[in-house]
Amino acid sequence: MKGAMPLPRPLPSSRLPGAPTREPGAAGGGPPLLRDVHHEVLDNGLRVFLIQSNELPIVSHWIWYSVGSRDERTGETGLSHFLEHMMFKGTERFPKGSIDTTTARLGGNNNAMTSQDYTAYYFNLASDRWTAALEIEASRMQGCLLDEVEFGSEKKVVLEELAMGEDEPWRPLWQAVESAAFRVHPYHHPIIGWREDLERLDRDTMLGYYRRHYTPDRASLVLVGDLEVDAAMAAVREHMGPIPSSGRPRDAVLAEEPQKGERRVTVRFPGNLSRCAMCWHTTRTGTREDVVLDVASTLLSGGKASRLYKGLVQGRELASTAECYNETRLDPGLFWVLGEARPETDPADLERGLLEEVDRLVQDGPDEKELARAKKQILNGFFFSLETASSQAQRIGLSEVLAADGWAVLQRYPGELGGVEARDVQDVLARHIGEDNRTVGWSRPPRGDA
Amino acid sequence: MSEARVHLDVHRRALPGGLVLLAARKTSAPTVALSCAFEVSRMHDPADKPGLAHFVGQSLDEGTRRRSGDELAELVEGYGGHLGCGGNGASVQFAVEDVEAAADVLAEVVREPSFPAKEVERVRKLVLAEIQADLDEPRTVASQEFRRRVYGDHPFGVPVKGTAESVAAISRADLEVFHATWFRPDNAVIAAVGDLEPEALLDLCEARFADWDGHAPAYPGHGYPQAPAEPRRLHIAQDKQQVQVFLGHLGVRRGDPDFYKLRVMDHVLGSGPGFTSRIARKLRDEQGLCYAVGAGITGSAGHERGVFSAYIGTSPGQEERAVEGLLAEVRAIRDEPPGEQELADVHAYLTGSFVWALERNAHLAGFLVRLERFDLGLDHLDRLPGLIRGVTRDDVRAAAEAHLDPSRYDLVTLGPVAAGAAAARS
Repeated sequence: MKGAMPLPRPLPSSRLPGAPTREPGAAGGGPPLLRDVHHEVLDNGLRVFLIQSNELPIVSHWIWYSVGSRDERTGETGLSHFLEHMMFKGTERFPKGSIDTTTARLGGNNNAMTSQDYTAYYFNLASDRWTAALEIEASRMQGCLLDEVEFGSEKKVVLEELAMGEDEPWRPLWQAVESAAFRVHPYHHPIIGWREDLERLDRDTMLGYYRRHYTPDRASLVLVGDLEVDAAMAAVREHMGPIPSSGRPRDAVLAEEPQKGERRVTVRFPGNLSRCAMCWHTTRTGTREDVVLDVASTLLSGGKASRLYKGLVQGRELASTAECYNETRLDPGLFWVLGEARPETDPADLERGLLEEVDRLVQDGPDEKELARAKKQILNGFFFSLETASSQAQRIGLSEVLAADGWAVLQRYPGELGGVEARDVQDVLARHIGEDNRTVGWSRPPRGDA
Repeated sequence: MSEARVHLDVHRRALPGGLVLLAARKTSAPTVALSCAFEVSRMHDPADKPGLAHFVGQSLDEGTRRRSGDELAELVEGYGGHLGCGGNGASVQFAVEDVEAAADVLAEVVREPSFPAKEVERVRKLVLAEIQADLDEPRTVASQEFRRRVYGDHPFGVPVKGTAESVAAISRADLEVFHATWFRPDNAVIAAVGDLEPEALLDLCEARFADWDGHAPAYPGHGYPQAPAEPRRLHIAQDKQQVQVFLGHLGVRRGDPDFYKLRVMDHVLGSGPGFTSRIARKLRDEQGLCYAVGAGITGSAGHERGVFSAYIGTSPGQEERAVEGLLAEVRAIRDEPPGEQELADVHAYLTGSFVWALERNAHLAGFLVRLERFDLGLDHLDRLPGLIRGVTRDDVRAAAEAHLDPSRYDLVTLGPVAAGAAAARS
């Protein structure tokens, strides 16, 4: 739909182009339709979630590791994502190439994605052979070969992925904004890593990182589809049960200090148009404020009746597209507002326009009809995600790895959403969306062109 | 996947006016998707107004005879629904409890758009801005130039959105005439999928479209250019980190008798999942030349001939090796049949994987539309495994030889100037 094309934003990097992206409000979750989740924790700490859904003879198999670029130390940036690529390059039991060949022979598909906070791997397979995925994941939780030659050739692939991102109009911008917004916290680093770190990374460093972070007590397994709970749990115990845990909790990281003044960055990008990305530090996934910010972002950019579209794309015609994202994370995340200036728009007008729309929401709050519409849109987004086994599994996994109290956030979400009032939207926005907490970035054509 | 396990119960109803309705039930979510597709594409754009079909699509939800665009957006989003409009029709996704409203909205936007003058001018400016935005995407620019060269003066040589000049020249009357001419019931298919009995879905649609009449003219035809006598190269100089490479030539129609042979060939050559196809395995997995790479001929096949295209994005200085690598695989698949295991793997993948395209209501609705558009038959899913398994090793080689040409092709590269110099020498 015109005007509703999602802008690129700080999404997880994936091994293959075209991986599924986070559903709107996904981390927030949905109504108690997920009450039939079977949840169990194995002795080694692996958290297991099963949902039986028999319409199609398929199973979506996801494993989520609580490790991402957030866990990388200075000089090691990009390790989580690079390691995700290497997880397809051979294990003791599945030699190079055989993970993809096995998946394809079974008529399935697989991919993986790395974010700041997690690394996730999935297989979608027919239900009469889904345990192949379990066998592969069991094998590569600790048995990935990290072959030296493969390490070298895959490093080139990752550097190509980095170069590809630098040629995309939005990516250099939001990276610059994010790195400016976070100075101390490792969210400062790109998920894909800094080029020089990647070039210098060696195989032994990766091996150490892999051993530190890939353990059952750092993982959540989510299975959705045509399976029988007792039999599935027996298979999970058989394959995953013997893998030893580390008993070591995830390391703490430096907290970002409160921002004390607006920060601004400009990126010169060889292109025609000017693009604006601004963000404010907010809250963690799963807090009550997170739910309110989901509502706020839907009010601002949840379709053609939303405020940014009506005000700036349609009304004042300053932007060709204007979007808002509530991107909460394990540690306090960001609330984003983005806009692409029309060729004839003065960028300063667009920036002012974006801020005015947000301010207007803080000052006046949503009217009743508007608020009800936003809530219904968020709930329906959840219903739409039930259409595929994979998106259901994603909802559970994301909540489990991102929210402080894990997937329980899904159970609370509908009640909290229902309770959001106009006053809450105003209060929560007023608390976070101030000038001193703001980072504003512009991507501009090269000097001389504009 | 055991092939017999996925059976799709498709209900079909042809209305007297020529409109065809299709429906299937999906129970996984309390949702519904409806899609109304017209046989309309760039083929239907007047020669001097490319982008007209797209412009019509972008204007469908900007106002109807019953309400303004704003009122329509508030209505749709008030239900928490989605409305998508394009040059070939519209689609809606709603909660199943709101299915009546979903069908009302669909009927309203495809049957009664009013193209308000003020909104048309606004949409025009937006489309012009989007055309500018596309120029900032290197892969899009290279792809558009590649198509322009492959299709020559065939309508598919111009981008879907048209050009800045053509969009400026389109009038409100053009939109009205185009809609009145082509958005006719005998040129349309409606597919409905969701958690309702298929017959109930058909009834819902029939109630809103049964009184619709009028006939669309015959499908317009256009010739195709000859392929260049020898490789034809173009380099677009842009200050970028990577070189975008598109290589290929005209392809086949969906109805080509070799279609399934080529589908199998695509997966051996460059369209398989992960690194299972030859091009991804060699150029990415073994040589580390790229992150994104692929090749295929069947994905773009429609009523018009599609393209055979091979794509790679690689660092400057490597594009010569990449082009040679792509061509080597094209030659190889024409010269030698695929290995037995290689073919068996592709058979297994293609006969097992189609279920993934049917999970989402909207995707399944799109699939139903294709069944009708390409006359595939309601039992297509039951027959598909046989069609795939019937393709032999020799079929793949012969189809590749008949439809791929490693000596007459267009090559478009986009990237730093030095990279172009290298490509020109290759």
